[in-house]
Amino acid sequence: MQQPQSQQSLESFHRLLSSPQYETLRGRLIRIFARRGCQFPQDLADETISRVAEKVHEIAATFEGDPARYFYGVARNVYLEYTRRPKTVPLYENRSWTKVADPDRLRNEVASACLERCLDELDGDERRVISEYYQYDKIAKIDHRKKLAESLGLGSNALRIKAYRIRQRLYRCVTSCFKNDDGREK
Amino acid sequence: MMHETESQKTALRRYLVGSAPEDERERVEQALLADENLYEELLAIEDELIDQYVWGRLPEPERTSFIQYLSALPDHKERLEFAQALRAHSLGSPTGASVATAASRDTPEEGFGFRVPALLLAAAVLLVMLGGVWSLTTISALRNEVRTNQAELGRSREGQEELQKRLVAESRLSSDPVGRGAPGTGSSLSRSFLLRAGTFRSGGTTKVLQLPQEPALVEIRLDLGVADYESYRAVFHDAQAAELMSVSQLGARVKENEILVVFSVPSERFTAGDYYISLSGVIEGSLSGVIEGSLSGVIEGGELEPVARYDFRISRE
Repeated sequence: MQQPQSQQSLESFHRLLSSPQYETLRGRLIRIFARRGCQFPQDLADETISRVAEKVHEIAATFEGDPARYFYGVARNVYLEYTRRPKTVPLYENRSWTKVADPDRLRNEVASACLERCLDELDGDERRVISEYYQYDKIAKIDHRKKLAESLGLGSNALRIKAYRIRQRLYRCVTSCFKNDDGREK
Repeated sequence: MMHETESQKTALRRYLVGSAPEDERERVEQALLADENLYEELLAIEDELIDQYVWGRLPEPERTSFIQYLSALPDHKERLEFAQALRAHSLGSPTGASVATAASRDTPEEGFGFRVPALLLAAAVLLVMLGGVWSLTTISALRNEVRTNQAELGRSREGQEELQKRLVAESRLSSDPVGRGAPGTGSSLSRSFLLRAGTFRSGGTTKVLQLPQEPALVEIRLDLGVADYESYRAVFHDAQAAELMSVSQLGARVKENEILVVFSVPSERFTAGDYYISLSGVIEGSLSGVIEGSLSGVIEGGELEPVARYDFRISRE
């Protein structure tokens, strides 16, 4: 039996508002607001999602089509309202002064140790992609990547996405290691 | 198909560096919400741009526009730091294929750049001990190589420090709504004032800050006495206690035995009259940033606890 249009629409909205799609929806909205120069894009993204979530049943009853289009419309309204608000003025911390306690050096060391540890968790090909794809100081970056893609049997776009996904995993590993302070020698 | 992908990539790149025309920007935004794969593509290009920035390979005006965008993202500090760590790793492993080894884990405090020299030194010492087949010249050459590598590491560290400074300066430049007043943009720092705490900790006095007529940056130094918090938030109020502006993530600094919070403000934000700054300490709930302070005044977090109040009066020359 075919579902009524409003029921399908409601389910589409619910999918977008539930994990894991919710996280990427929020990330996309944050980027849209950030690119439009908004100071706290995550707040505006949350506002957009809240507005839709609060009226999702009403919206689903009348809206036809891709829910993403509806979110975009609400995001535009949220942005327009943002542009009408009085602007806050950022102040500038003078960092030429010496800090009371400067933990940067220690943090750099922990971050470096975490990176080494996390690189160890990658397999050989993955380490090679990370080591070679992101080298910008080497000559002929494009040629270099082309050769890397060929040697892995991938197209250039597939290599980019592969490099990105490995990098994401590495990034999550380093961040987690750092937060747990695991990079420090025990 | 290939052509389509390349043109899509070009459009996404233009979008991220702020050079897409309005109609293209809208198309990208709509597609971004509708197409999950496109979002992943955008994130991949975002990472590439971060790398180009960290390597100093992102030209103007793209660089300023991209940093303005990036600084608004909640995890920008961690991602920049991660890209710097990757860069440092890349500089420390000339073959590119070299990754963590037991030797490197044994010397974590020396960073990536010392791995190769350390091995070379160890090899040289071993060879001399075994039979002395290596001449002094060879050892000397190795030492030179070590020195060169150490110098490279030093330059790398200097580069990172320089990068941090550049990030702060460019963040200021890109987020300056009045288009002037940020350090490095032509406005000079014309005044520096030290304010001492008032009502929260002790009875205070009102200090008169005499500002020039022309726009300028004014440095405010708030005397802390002791630094009890990792970061601070300063809020400017007028005489009616209305909140005028604020800045977060301020770190305590020390100069000439005084512990201070120091920041600058465009003079044109003030008319003559009475003001006060309320300073709060931030009780950090969790460590949110890998490296503190890549871009200042952007992220807020934690509970606030009142620290001090600084009263002052503005007069014009």
